[in-house]
Amino acid sequence: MAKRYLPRNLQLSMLMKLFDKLNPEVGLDLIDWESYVTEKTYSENLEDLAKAYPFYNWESPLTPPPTTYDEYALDALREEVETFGGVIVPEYHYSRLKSVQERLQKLKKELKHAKTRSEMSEARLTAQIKESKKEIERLRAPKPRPTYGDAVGSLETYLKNVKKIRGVY
Amino acid sequence: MSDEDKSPEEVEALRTRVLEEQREVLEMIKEEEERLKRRKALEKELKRLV
Repeated sequence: MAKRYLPRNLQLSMLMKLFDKLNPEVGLDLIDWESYVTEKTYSENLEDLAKAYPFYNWESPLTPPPTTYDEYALDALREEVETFGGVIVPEYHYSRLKSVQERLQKLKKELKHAKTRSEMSEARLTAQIKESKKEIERLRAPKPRPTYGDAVGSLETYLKNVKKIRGVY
Repeated sequence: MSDEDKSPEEVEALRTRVLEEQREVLEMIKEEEERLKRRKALEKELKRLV
């Protein structure tokens, strides 16, 4: 199938909208859109951005990608492929073998796609865990006690403010 | 082209290729299962943290 190239400006606007929707708390200016959105297909650009910024969300949780497998789907797939082993016997005809080969090639393509998705999710989760741990450490760290200098500084500011207030009244 | 037009060698060659591809796909499924396990463990860890 021929690749479908959307105009770059249109892609930029679509990708920004998607990012804003999935990451409402993050500003658009944190992403280097100019460098990562190039003359590629929409899905290739999206993949590049997701790889470059794995800690942000790039996939809507409401619409999981069809090529991400869970345990049940993988079990079913394994069962299907293992069944081929039982039928790829000498009596098997060329045309039937050909159709099994086509099915296997399709599965290879889908699994390759699933691999990319899984690796992206893994990278995103790892980055989120790292960020969370950092945040926890930051929150747990004891706050520095005010030094003598801080106290004097505060006192001076306080006295200045008092003088100002007295001057006014 | 019907099955009768193919020589036994051609059928055998295709059978060998199909078996090879079947092995590759099973290997890919195994790898995906491993990735799924890792992803689940990471999801669990993240859930514990936040």
